[in-house]
Amino acid sequence: MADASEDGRGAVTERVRELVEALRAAPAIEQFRAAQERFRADTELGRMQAGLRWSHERLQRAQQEKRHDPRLFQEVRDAQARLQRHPLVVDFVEARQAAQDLLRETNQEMATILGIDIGGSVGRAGGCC
Amino acid sequence: MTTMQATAADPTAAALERARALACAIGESAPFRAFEAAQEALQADADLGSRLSAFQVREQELRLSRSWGGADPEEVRALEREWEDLAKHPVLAAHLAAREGLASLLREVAGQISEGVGLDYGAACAPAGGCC
Repeated sequence: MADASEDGRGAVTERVRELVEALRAAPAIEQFRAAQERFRADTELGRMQAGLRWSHERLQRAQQEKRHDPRLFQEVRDAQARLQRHPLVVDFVEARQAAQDLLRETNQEMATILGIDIGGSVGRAGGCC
Repeated sequence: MTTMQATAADPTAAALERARALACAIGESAPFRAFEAAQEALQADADLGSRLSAFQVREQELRLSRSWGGADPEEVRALEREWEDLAKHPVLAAHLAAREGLASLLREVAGQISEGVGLDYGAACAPAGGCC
């Protein structure tokens, strides 16, 4: 079996490790990771997410049983709106956007050299749900 | 100020510098070089190129028919057989293998970056296709 360093994979792995280290030191990624941590650690937010899941499940059940209940729709929409307005969620979404922008910039730098869009070739169209 | 000093003072510039170093390492790797060679061989084979173009035109036509619900199953099977035949061509087979080899390396790279930063690299860089 060929040595990984022989076919250049060893060097690639090492450069990836250095890139990850540098990315983690960049403000956009640092702020994203901090926002993600606050998001995950917040118990109130956890309860709001659980509440939204519960409302959503009730809505799905009602739809499966062909019951049309506008109050359930409204309940889900209200719970989503409350979550989207929560300051930690607002911070998280903004920080994630900035972090994704940096990853796209990184990808663009590499594409300029290689002529290959790495992220685009492995990625899928980013849905939101 | 030297480039090194500039990137040391600016972590974002340092990350982009690392990205360029990674791109160079990928460019020197065996999977990338094999892909480039296979790509050149494919472009140099005019006969194979015209067979591939004709195949792609038929595939596109069939995809359109399928989207309208009018694809003839017999035609679909014929096209599949044609692809099996084409894929046996040594130049195309080598190209497909080289492409998969490079794709596998790039998936590994993207996976390691995703894991390291806690964000899906591919999803962040893919063209926007949001649902909302």
